[in-house]
Parts: sequence; structure tokens; C-alpha cells
Amino acid sequence: MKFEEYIQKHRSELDHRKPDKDRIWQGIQAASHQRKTKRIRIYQWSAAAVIILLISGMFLRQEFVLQRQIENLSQINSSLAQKEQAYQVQVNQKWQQFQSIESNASPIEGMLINELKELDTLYQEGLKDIQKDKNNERAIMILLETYEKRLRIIEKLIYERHKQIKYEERNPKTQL
Amino acid sequence: MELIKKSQQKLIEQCKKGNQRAQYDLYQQYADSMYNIAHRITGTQPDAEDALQEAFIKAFQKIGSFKGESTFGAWLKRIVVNQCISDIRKRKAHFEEFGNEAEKKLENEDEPQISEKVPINKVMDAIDELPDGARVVFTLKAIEEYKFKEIAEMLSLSESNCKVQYHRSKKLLSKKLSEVIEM
Repeated sequence: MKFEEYIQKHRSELDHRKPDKDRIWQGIQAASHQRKTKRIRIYQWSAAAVIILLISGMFLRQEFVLQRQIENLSQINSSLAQKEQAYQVQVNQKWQQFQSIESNASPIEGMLINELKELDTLYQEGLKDIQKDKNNERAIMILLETYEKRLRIIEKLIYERHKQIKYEERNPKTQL
Repeated sequence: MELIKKSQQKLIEQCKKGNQRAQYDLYQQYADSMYNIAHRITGTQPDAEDALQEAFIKAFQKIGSFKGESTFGAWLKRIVVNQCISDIRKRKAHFEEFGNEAEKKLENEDEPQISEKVPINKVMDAIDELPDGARVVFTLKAIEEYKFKEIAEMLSLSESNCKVQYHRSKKLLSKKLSEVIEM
């Protein structure tokens, strides 16, 4: 007889083997639980990563915006704001004092004015460092020092103007 | 019958929601028959149990995609069969390739026969002992009643190759089982 006929005739007897159903079910449950836990862990890690990225993004954006906006020390904190404001008042007063002295410029005056311009450049470079890291204490110190140096230079300028006046008084002929 | 169908649909719906009790009930309904299919394809008890376990895990994971276009049994059986084939391939089993010429030769060959007297358990044992390729094709065609086209797709072989393999498996069985009768 053909195999196909034989199989048809005995079809009801084919499924005679019995599996260890309980053991296999335990395996199914264990694997499902493991995959579920793994899936939950993946979701948890994904959620945590998204939150961290969002917070970091917001923080970095804020820092970036803040740093881009820093144009002087007073924007970093109130203590520096007070210091800088005090220096600025002093510098302005001295500068006005200097400008109010009418005299011919002494030979050294041009050199001192150039030094003041160099201090402006130094101040701008210091600001760039602070834009990168607003807690850069060295850069903050350098910026404050520029005010001190400005004051000393302007005082020198004033001194030079007075010296020039005295010189002109002593030597009126030289004024042509 | 309608009542059984409805209760099974309910079970499937509960399984889709991840209800473990429903999964267990469905497993109990199908475990025996699916295990026997797996055993016939893989040829051994441990391989059949491994395949059955993995197939049920996959079935419960994919049950959301079961739309009722076939019976649940047929859908599950396909997963079991695919799992068994995948496991056999992982064992690097060799599915022999036969050319078209081998199929032409079949036309001249007699149809292999089996004696009615052979006990079914002897037939099943003989099937288990067939080489992988022959056993899988014989089981899928003669017992599980898949078409050659479907078998070819499942095994990534040509249809003619499957036909030659099927004929070869019947010849091997016929020879082996004739020895059983003689004993």
C-alpha cells in the first residue's frame, strides 16, 4: 500500500507521544518573564536617557544663551556687578578729570592712550574666556585688573598733563 | 462546536491582553499535538521540547498579529514547524540538493510501498531515524499535508528538490520497514 494511504489509515494513532508539559510551561513562563523584565528595563533606560538629554539640552541652551549675552562682568553675579560699577565710576571720573585739563599733549601721552586701547582688547579677550566658562576666576581677575590699570594709566595721563602745563609755564616760548 | 470556537476566541483575546491564565489554557489545549509535530520533524525528544517551548514563546509574543484568517491551530502549527526547521538549520543539518534530472528519473521509478502489517510505532521510529532532509520533507508532506510549494518555501529549496527528497524518504522507509516485517 502507498505511504499516504497508510498514514491516513493510522492518522488517529500518530500523536501518541506525551511531552513534559509542566516543565515546558515553566520554561515558557521564565522566558516570557525574562523578556518582559528586559523590555521594561529597556523602556526605563530609554526614558531616563531622554530625560537626561532633555535636561542637559535645556541646561546647555541656557548656559549658551547666558554666555552669549555676557558683555561685561556685571552679568555674571551681583558682587561682580557692584565691583565693576564702582571701577567704571572711578574710571569715568578720572577720564573726565583728564579731559578737563587743557594743555598740549605731552610726548608720552600717545603711548599711554595706546596702553588704554590695549587694555580694552585685553578686556574683550577676557570676556571671551568667560563666555566659554563663566566661572573662570582667572579671567574675572584679569578683567578687574584692567580697571585698576586703566585708573593708573589715566592718573599718569593727568600727571603728564600737569607736568606739561608746568613745563609750558616755565618755557612759554616753546608754545608756537 | 460553535461554543468551543467562541470560548477559544475569548481565550485568544485574553492572550492578546497578556493574560497568563488564558495563555496556560491555550498551551494545555495545543501542547500535545504541537509536541508530536515537533518530534516528527526534529526526530528527538529534547529537540522537540526545545522547539515547542520556543514556538509557544513566539506565538504569545506574536498573538496580536493573529487575525483569524486561518484556524489558531494552523497558525500555531506553522510557528512550530518554522521553529523546528530553524533549529535543525542551527544544527547545520544538510538538506541535500537534487537537480531536475533527479526529478525526471522519478517518473521511471516505482512508487515505494509499505505493508499494512507494519505497526505504526515502528513506522514512527523509522521516520525519526531518517536523515534530516528526508525526515522533514516526509513529515511535512505525508503527515502534516503541506503542499510541495509550501514545503519548498519553508526549506528554501526548489519544489522539484522537495519531490525528489520525498520520494527518497519513502524509498528509505520502505526498505527499512520491509526488514521489520521480515524479522
